[in-house]
Amino acid sequence: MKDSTRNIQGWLLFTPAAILLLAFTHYPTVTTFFQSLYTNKSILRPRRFSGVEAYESMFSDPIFWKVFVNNMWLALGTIPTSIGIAILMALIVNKAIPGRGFLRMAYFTPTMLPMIAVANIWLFFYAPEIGLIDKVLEIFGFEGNNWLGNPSTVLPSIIVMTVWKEAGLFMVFYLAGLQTISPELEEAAKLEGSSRWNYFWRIQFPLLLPTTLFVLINAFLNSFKLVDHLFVLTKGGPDNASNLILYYIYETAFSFLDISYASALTIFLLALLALTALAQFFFLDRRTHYR
Amino acid sequence: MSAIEVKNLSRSYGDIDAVKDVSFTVPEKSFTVLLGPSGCGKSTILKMLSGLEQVSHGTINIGGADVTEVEASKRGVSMVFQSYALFPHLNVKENIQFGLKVRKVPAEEREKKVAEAAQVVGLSELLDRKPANLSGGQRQRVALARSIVSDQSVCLMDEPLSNLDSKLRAEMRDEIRDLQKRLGLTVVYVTHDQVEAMSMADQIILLKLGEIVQVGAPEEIYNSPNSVFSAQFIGLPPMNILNLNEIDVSSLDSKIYSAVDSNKNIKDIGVRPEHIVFSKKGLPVVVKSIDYFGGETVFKLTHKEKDFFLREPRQPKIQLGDQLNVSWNLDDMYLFDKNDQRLKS
Repeated sequence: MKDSTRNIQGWLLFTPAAILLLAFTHYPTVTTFFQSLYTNKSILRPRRFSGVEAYESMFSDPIFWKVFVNNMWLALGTIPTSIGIAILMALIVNKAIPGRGFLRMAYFTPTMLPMIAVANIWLFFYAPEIGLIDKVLEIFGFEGNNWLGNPSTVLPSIIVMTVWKEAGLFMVFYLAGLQTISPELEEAAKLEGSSRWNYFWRIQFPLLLPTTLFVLINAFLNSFKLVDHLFVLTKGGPDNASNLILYYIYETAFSFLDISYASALTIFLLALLALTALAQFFFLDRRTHYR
Repeated sequence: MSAIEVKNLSRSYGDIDAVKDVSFTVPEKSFTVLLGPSGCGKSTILKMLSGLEQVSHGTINIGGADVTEVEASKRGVSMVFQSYALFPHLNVKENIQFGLKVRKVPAEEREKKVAEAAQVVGLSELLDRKPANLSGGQRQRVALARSIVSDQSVCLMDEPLSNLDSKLRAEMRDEIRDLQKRLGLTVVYVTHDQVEAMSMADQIILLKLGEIVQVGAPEEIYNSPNSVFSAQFIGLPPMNILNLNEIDVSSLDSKIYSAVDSNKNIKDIGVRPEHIVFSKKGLPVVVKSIDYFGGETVFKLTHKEKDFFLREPRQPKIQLGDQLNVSWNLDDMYLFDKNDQRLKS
């Protein structure tokens, strides 16, 4: 076969994927970027080039800063906790204990549920007075709370739910990581008099570092990507106390119909996620260092 | 005085008895090899000695104290694992001093001990390397150094040479043996390789299906095996075992014939390959294959569909398919009964 024929075949094979990528990823990204540089078109005023105006108003928009800070708190609240719980669960189900298969499945179940279903379950937990949490509090004589209606408890409530949802997935990564560690290492450490605790901190945790890095970055990306539950639980309220960047973009674009501003927000989020993804590439290269 | 004394040791997993009522002693500063095919329970015994495996029945004494219920780190043993069990994220130095740090040995003393141990095994130049950047032999040395700095008098080794190539294996055999003598260690060494056992051991404990078959010095087991299993497990090629019903007894040399014929309990006769010689009379054989090794030649012979080996230091002019006769001295023949046990003639 001639080289030119091979090239044509290659391009033909590549075309379907290329069309999809161009049509649904690259083209929208580029148009979004251009839309952010123009004002919105209306019947009264035509579209005009506005440069970085949308970005300027973004940085002076108190709601933008609020949702950004909310998002950072969400990341800070969910990531370390879910990683800690995931490691703990992985250590438990990595042991030869009775009912191990059942436990693994139980820990993983929240991950398999769609976010909307999870939100519905937790809506029942958090409901004031009739909700599970308030019922249990009542038994012990504590005052109930409108968990999702109170600006000071709504974000922590969402953090708790996200941890519950994500820890199971991270557990699977940690379990895989733990299983690559030879059991002879534990025996050798035990023979040297190393306690369980010392073995974890000196051997297991350092060896799980590549896994932790991977999970860390994924958890960070997830904290910006996962907003489905807001549609069910709070719609970002009360007073934007539980609003997150992606949900704010959705609201701006489709409720307030401010496409220009929504585009600027989108480009900001894309840049943030792209930077994180780059960091992932950069750091994960160091994984080889242990092998 | 014996460093280790094992009495009636058993280990079962559900219905499976991995180790059945095993008793033996390991003399102080000796090199004892637990030898046997896979599944004979040798590694299980070693793990029970180390405390990493529970004991079902029996007792273990180390250094005069009953340690059957004592946890692994308090038994006064160190261990070298088959995979070396080096910590991949720690460098050589950190690996060697891991146990010292756990036991909170002061930094100064730690430095000194690590330097000494590294010197002994020839790793002084490589202390900053990670295990991934070491060769198999070097990793093996790190494992040995870790065992040395622990200052335990008993060292347990679980097939430590099985991951090395044959040349390195021969080198490390000498080195480990030398180290054991120099440091006055009591070593219990597990292997399935009879060459390792023969060349290193002061005492071999031969195991089969969780039970001890024979205990003795290498030459003792080689020269007077107590059973067909002992006779065949030690020596390469293994001892030839000829079932009297499968060979033409009448063709045997008259002295051998009368020795065989005198006892009705004899089922098999055994002769080592180096004791069989080509002769004018005797068992008629056909040459099936010839393996030339330089220092010796091994012939595979057939007699009535039964294969056996003859080892010859010279290179006689014999070709494939030649029809010859073989014989052996009466003194070099072993007799076995129907339970595969040795009959003393």
